Amino acid sequence: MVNEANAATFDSILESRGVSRRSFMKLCGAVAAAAGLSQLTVAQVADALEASVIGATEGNLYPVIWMEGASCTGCTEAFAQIDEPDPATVVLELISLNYCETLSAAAGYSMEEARKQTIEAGNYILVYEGSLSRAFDGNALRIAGETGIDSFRETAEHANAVVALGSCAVNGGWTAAYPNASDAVGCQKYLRDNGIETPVINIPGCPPNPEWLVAVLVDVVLMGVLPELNADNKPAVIFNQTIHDNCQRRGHFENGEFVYQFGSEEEAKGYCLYPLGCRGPQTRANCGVVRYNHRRSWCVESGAPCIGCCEADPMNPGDNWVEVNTPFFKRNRDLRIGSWTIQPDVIAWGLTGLVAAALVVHGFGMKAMGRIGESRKTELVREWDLKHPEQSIGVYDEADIKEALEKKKGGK
Amino acid sequence: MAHLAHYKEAHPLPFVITHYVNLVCMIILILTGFMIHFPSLPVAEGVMRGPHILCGFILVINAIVRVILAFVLESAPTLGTRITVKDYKVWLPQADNKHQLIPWLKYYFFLKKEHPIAAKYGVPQKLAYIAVFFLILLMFWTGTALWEPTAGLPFNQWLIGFCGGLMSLRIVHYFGMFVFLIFMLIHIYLCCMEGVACLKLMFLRKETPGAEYDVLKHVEKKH
Repeated sequence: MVNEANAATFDSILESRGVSRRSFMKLCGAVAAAAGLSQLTVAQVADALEASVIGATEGNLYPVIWMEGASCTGCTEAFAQIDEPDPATVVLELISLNYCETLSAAAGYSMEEARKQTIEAGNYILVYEGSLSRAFDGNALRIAGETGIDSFRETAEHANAVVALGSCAVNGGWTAAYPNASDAVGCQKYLRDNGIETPVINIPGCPPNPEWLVAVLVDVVLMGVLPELNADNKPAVIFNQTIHDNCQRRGHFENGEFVYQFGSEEEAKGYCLYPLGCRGPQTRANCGVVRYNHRRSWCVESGAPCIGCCEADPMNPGDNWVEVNTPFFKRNRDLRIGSWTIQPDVIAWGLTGLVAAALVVHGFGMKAMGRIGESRKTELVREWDLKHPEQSIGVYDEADIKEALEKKKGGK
Repeated sequence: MAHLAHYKEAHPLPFVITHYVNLVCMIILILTGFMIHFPSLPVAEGVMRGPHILCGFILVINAIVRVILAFVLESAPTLGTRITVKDYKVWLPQADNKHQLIPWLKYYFFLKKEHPIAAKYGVPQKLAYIAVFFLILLMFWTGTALWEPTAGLPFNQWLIGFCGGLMSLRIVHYFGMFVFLIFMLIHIYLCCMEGVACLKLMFLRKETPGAEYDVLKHVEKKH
């Protein structure tokens, strides 16, 4: 195939990229950490990288098609903005990236041709970034004369697996948030709705940590296995625990040391951001373990409460992270009725207050009617029994019935 | 007409105990729940979840025990009598309450002057108590789905998906607490309106003499 890249020996790849053996081992450590593996497995990861068919000797690289739907290209940027040879670079060098709107040198007809050829040759994986715009028969998004959904369907149908990269690709992300004018949806739901059973690996995040993709590519491309996935088809080791579980500020949470206001003394001390709406306790990802930007820092470390960008139910575009987490600095999301939003607290306290006020008024009414405690009167005969004497439940004295009837006649 | 007598048979000791457990657990659950929702007493935050989870388990176990005991123990079907029946019968529709839902609602909304004749529990009262049992189960289910050690169980995973994620589930749990709060307001208010006899019997096990009720004829006995 014309578009296929070939690998030289593994060491020469490293050398040509100016990567020392030492840096390579560090990279393997990072990949192991990203995959949630113990550092004891670093050697295995290194073996896999080296000894895989692709890495160690000459041979075909695993073809990858990287497509974008309704995306901001942030996921590509996160993966590609690197200032030195890096896990991402090396792994990208180990695959044959046959199509990528942002990174490919080619453009136009030849690019689309490369995609078609790769599909024809088969045995490739698709990395998909951004959501699928279904509105106007898919014409909300057109690429190279085709609708985005058509080119996605064509490419995904024949792929070995689809890696849905970023929350938009997982379930529509912020593009599916209200009013979702483009009728955005994620890869898995679109495929299943159209009866396509290609395996999907969901990697949410806005943007997803590049090292998560590296970890998945190591599994799929190099080790030839799908990573262990949870019920949402997200890699279990990355997305099964909450941010809160592994947060470096967790100690402050347990101590009751909180930041209530930005710019406060507490913020300077690095206390827990929970009262500022941190979504750590309900967001599942290992950001605090892997960290971003060459493992230098991550949102909470740099002082921002988690905004829950990894929240994404692949089969439910309504459970996208923007819809369920805004406003970010409040503990509760907004509830939405059409274009109108309201905080749950307002409903809950409002209703409780209303009931309490109604009971006070009711109490005055009861007092006025002389119904409190010993002073109240009980009916002599049930209302229904009085109207239906032949089916009466109670067996009453004649006198009581007579009295009750008289009371009724007298307007109760 | 005099009030019906309040005898201990209406609320046997085991049910008084389960009621106390409910009361204590619910108060602890509500207070700790507010703290977990927002750390308004920050220094206590670290110890709030322990009692919250413990009381959640106690509350649901207590509720289940209460239901089982209803099939084992006996209680009086109405006030003003020492005759007892299996307690579960008190929770089913009773002849003493037949056709009385509308009169009760009319009474509460001031459309009827006189207090309706009722079994031990009036119709809206009985429905509310039964609803509270299911509310306890719902709160337990949503609570365990939010609690990390049990969140991964398949039925909890299903619930999280059904509610639209952990945030929305948390709000369901939060709203459920307010339903409890509203129930408690109305419950306490109406008990106080009925008079001190109920409170004395339920909390102090003190009987109050009064009129007798004929459970066979479904009417108050004449002296």
